[in-house]
Amino acid sequence: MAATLASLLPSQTVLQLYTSLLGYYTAAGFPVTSWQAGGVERTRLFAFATVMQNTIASYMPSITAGGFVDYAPGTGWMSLLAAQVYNLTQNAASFTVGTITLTAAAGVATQTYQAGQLKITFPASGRSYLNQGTIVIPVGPGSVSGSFVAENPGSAYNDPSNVTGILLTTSIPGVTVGNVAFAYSTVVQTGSGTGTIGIGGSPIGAHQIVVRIDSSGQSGVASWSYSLDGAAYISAGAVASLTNIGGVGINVTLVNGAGTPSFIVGDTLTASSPGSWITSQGSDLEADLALATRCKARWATLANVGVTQLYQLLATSTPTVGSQVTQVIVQPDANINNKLLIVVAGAAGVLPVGTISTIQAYVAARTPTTVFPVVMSPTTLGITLAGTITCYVSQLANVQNLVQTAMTAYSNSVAINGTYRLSAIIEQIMLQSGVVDVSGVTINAVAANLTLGSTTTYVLGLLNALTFTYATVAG
Amino acid sequence: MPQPILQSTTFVQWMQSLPISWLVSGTSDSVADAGAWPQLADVQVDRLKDAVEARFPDKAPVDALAHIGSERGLVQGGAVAGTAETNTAFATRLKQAWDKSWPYAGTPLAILLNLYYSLGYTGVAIVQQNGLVFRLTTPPNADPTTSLVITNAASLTAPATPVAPYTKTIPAGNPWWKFDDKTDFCSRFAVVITTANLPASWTSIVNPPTVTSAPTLSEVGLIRAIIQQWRNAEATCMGIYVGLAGKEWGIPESQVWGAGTGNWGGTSTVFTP
Repeated sequence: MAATLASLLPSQTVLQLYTSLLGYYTAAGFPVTSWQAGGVERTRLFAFATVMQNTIASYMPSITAGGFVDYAPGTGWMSLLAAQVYNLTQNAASFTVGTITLTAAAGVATQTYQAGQLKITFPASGRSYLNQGTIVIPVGPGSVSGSFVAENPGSAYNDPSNVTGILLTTSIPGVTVGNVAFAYSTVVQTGSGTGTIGIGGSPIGAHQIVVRIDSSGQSGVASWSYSLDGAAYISAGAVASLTNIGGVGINVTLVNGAGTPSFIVGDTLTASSPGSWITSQGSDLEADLALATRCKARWATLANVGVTQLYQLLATSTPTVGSQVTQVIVQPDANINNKLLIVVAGAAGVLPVGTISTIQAYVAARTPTTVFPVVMSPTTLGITLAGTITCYVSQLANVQNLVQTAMTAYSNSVAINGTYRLSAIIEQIMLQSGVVDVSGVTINAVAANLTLGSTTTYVLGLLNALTFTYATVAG
Repeated sequence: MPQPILQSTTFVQWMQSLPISWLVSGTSDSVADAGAWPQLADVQVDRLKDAVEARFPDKAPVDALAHIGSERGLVQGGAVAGTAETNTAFATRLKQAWDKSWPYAGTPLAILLNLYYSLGYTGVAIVQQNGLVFRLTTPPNADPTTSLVITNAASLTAPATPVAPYTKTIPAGNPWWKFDDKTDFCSRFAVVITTANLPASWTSIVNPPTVTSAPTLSEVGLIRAIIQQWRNAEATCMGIYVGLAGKEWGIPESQVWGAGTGNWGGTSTVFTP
């Protein structure tokens, strides 16, 4: 009779094998109970059982698990199983790329640095980045921006924006560096119009704005509506621009494109604020569980009709950028027939616009006629965490950096339409070295958990600057 | 050429075949060793074979079938509720996932097949706003497509007029299933279980379902999971319509105003999809 799966998954112990051996000898009429502990017979049998356990039995669980997608994760078999049975390659880890601004003070002479010659280090995380291309530092006073790539791959390198005190490890007297987030993300357009929107102003907090074209035309003729942070659309009429939308300091201007009319009814143009210094998110080697999920979704490729799993698979398997996708929600649009919303996000939250565009192109090329797929980022909701943290006075600066990093990591771990939990925030703060106590924690000024989104809205939290108050004690 | 590893000689047979008389005959300790040690080794070899065979539906132990099903997105009948599906039948269905399950993903047939196999439901109808009704004759034929019955929904007796921003007026005479006045929104469907086709075990229908209602929350959860997994991605399920008593409009398709098919006054409930 075949062994059950439940009996094959745990490893047999030496004692179990030894007991089995004693059973055979007992059946053969040997007085095993009278054999002395430490005697020759018992020692011989125990040695044989040990060899058997070390050479065969200890490998049995992983040999068993390796054939099951449910159990292969963590056994070392998953990537081979995925590659050989499902023809899926485990997504490799990728490098974070971001924009760094180098500012030269008065008196600094122009200098040229080739790729890899400049190195910066973030103070809280200690992680370093190297310039990707040639950077020419201008004569001071002046500044230049350039792309920097993480020293190593992985999501841990998605350092936050607007960090103070970034160290220019390559010492250049008179030059400082910063990673200021762009005020806005790049505009993402859906539809066939050639027009775009110019966005400006001084936005207060984190927001997303969606402009929907309600009637075709050029700027000033086309009528349009806007949705701020996922709220219902509000008509702006047939105006060319609108300022201080929603009272949050965002200005929008319709900018004509090459075609006429530039704006086509049904087009949407989306931007969020603030943007990020990151232009390509770093990601870890695809986790076994994520790979297992893709393997299961592989069955959907047998169908002639696209089901949810197929679109999840496409998004996470998009060449060069699929590894950045850690979350996918696929839902039909609530209002438009055959429109399919594919909401994606990465380890560090909203993915760069270029990543979204690449996934959009990959999915759209594999979508049936009449289906309108829209790969999009979730709306972001600014998250303000506050409270009082008590720490040792000698470690105040370090604690502030550690808390910043911990809260960024926690916020990034909250899924689309997930829940920010007070208990988790308190736990993460208390885990930091030098922290003595934490009290009065609030999320967006409320001392309660905060659940994002709904069945028709997709929201991801975006951590605002922390507003914790720090109290110190001796030590 | 590789040897057929599943038919190899056992360690016991090998040991007993050795031409060493003091080892294989008599009553010495050595003879006992020659019997016991290869027995233990054979047990381990058998376990190794079992470990490999466990991943194959026809060879898998009973408790492995659910995990093969998990990988293929199939749930054994009776695992959650409904009619029990034998292990042999489920193993066959697992093997046939290639050509009798997943090729139909995204079609009404896939939803109906899985409601039948995993929960034992018969007589379920899938209605589309644009006027088609799908049912399954059970048990399904070897080619399940031949078991799919497609009919027109009841025709509109008056034009279906839209509400803004929807624009399409649907002329009278067209088959149609009316969820609301969003006439442009034809990517919508519902699963309908009429009073006549209620599963026998549904003796305490509560909406929303609970752990003690019949159907239970788990059973309705599986219905929802089947719909979500097997519907085409851009289609929206409007609900699981359950007849509680009396007659419902449009099901059966002849059941419309003026058809002279009986009195109205039926009651129903709609589980969220």
